[in-house]
Amino acid sequence: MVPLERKVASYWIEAKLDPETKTVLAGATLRWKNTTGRAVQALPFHLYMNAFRAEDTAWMRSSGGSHRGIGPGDELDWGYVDVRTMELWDGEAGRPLTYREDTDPTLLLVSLPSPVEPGRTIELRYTFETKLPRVFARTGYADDFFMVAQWFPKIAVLEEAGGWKAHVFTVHDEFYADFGDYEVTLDVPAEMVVGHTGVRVAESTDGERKRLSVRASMVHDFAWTAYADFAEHEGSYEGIRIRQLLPKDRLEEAPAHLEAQILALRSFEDRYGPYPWSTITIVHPPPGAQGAGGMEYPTLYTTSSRPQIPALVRRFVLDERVAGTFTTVHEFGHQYFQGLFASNEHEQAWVDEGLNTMADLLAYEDAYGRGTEDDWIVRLFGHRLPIDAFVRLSLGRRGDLPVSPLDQPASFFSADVGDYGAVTYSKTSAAMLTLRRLVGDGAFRRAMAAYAERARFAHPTGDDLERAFVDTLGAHPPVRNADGSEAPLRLDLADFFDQMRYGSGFPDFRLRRVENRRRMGEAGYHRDESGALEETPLPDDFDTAVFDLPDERVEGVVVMTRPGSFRLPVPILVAFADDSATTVWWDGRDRSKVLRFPGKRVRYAAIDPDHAILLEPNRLDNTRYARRDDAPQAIPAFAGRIAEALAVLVTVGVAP
Amino acid sequence: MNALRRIVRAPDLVALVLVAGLAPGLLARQVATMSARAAMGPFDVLRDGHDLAYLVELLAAHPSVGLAIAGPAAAGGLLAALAMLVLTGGLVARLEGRGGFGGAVTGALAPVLVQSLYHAVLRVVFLGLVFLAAGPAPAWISAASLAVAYGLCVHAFDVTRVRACRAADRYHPRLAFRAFMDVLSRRGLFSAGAVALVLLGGAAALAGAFAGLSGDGSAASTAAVRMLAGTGMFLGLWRLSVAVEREQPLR
Repeated sequence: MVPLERKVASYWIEAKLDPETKTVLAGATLRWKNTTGRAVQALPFHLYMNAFRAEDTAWMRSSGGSHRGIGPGDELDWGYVDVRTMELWDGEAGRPLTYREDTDPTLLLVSLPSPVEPGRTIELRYTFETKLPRVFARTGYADDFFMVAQWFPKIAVLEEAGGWKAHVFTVHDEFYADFGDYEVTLDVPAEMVVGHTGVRVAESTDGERKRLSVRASMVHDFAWTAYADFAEHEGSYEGIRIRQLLPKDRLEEAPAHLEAQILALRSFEDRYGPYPWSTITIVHPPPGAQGAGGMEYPTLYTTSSRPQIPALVRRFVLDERVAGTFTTVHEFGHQYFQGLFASNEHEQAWVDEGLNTMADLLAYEDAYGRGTEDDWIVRLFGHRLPIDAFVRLSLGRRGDLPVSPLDQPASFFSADVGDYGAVTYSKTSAAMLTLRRLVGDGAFRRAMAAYAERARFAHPTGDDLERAFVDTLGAHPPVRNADGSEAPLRLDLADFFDQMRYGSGFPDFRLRRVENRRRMGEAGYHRDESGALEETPLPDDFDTAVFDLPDERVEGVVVMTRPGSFRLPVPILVAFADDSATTVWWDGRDRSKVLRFPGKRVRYAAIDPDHAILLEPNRLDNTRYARRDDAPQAIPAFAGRIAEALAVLVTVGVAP
Repeated sequence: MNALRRIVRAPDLVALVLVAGLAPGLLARQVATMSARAAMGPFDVLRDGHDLAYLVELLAAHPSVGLAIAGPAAAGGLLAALAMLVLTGGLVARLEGRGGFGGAVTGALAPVLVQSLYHAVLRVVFLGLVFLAAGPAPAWISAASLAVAYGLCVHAFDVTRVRACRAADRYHPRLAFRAFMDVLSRRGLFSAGAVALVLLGGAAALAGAFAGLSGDGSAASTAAVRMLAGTGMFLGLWRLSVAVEREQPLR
């Protein structure tokens, strides 16, 4: 069900593309409803395209002139959106309005002659010209390819409590807008293949031009693309049309992306509810337009290429599910996390990027399983890099971990520190997947489903996510073992979310000591009943080496420390010399924990043996054997095998 | 089969090339294992299917382990290759049925090294031309052409080395040039056999490396790596013997 009361900003746009001047001339009608209890006298608009207008815009300054490592190079061509007229329409006639750009040209303020009272709807009509930049950051053109996104003046969001949410556009910022309906007419050269948000309802050709009429219902943005050399590939899933637009020489990639799209749809519908629209368009930017790749818009997204790896190499040497297909899963995931759950990407980027990354990885797990032969993101010479490991490794390496707190506006992240991605995407997803392991998949599913239900066609926040978990699971849900059974601990959800959102630390556990000692007895002097000191003699085996003592005379000792600042429960597997084993939970609140096992000889101990704590970047100190010569040393042996193989290749391959 | 007969008559050569083929690998393995063990400190990991992730984590935390893996492997291999080049005189003498291994080595060392340089220039030019000619062809034709051309180059190098051991003009560039042209212009059984041995040797090297990189560390996979390495080195010796037979056929 689409909640119509959440329809706030609807647009009617007529746009004409001039491929020679790289401009779009357009006229728009905006119908906006004040759904808050406050009257407003002025309306802020986003002019995102003005980010690319000059070197001194906030976006250009914060980015250093490049995006995701791609810059315009020596083909820099500025872009802008220029509002030409602005009128308040009362049904019969228009009244010109005054408007001015803010200090940064990505914001425009429109003054109204009289306030818009709560519950009232107004209609604005405006014309504008959008000059597309040479694409390097999502939107623009490359030769005769056009990705027309963030191209029209778009009203900001008025919140009941927070007032207007109109942010200056900077490099890490994305977008925030209200839902509404869009009816858009696109006038383009007749030879262009066009992809767009929503569904096409009419098309007509007039000489060298054609006009497309497009409708999109309950979306919060509209983007489109035009390129004469697109080939089309069609697919579907449960009645949802999946249309791919690819450069003609990359058509063979389409089935892999379709497969990724379908696995994502299956997982997302199962976990977060039905996909509410009837279509999805996947755009593959052509070579030279990679800057347009990897971005989401309602019912349309751009993806990236899969590397051209021969099938034999994929089978036996290197295969991966990252390049291209993961982009497809991720950008589709945004149809939910932001497209449908329309959070404020400026204020809480993690609520869409991080939760979406988490959901993408779960989609992979749903498709390929966990701990199975098919559980890999990268496969190198038959060695799998499992999804869990990928999550963990993407956090960074010890000594170079991200340091910024998660829950802060995107513009607060310094491009120079460079940890926005690791924090927003990786840390959020690793933390949420850790939470899932701790409370169990069933409980996690229920909580996320509750969040999805509340967030659908709404503007959810991090607090809403936390509330959904607490409401669904209680404030202190039981911690679960790997087999789903309850562990003797409860998780403090508020504490977990506080550390995740506002802290900058990571969990890090270390096995400081794993050893066996002679069990202490009662030798020495004690007072007897009369108060006199009486000596208990030393046992005969007092000087016997621990190794030679019988097990009952031995005490196994395991000492763990927590160098990391993040506190959470963690299981410890302790294996004994008699082939028995036990799992002990540590609440992880103190800085250290000592386990003693009188009468048992410890063989080894392993912190988090089932990889529940995906948020722990450093696992190399999580397992320790009591005796070094008993340890399998699997990783040194692995390194040795690689070295020998390389030496064989060089020696035999080069020997004259 | 005379080339093979020459090898059978010199089992000490077979032992020598096997040692040269296996020693760098064994040495590199030891260095890498010890380096990784030192970096791991007192810790270990569980055998839980995350080996690749643990290795990536280890390499990220201790880049020196990466050097310890690649450095000795490359250096050992190149040293072994250089040794085989330096020993050319002795190898050829033994394959010809002559004695005096040491003297033959020292006698041929300088001309072999000089001719190697001339040959290198010719090889670059020849392979470059083949690359340019085959470039527009479909990928598999292009790859096959380059493989055959490479095989011919190696055979030409073997012939050059054999001639450098005894020829009168053994420092003159025309020796390397004529050897190259002879191999290219008289493409008989010798050339075909030598090219086949080059390709088989390359396949053995790739298979050995693949077995090592994809292996699980079991005794069988380790044995496979070493058998393939030995096979590759044996094929290399056979290839040189083909060049010797070409220059001075057995009666």
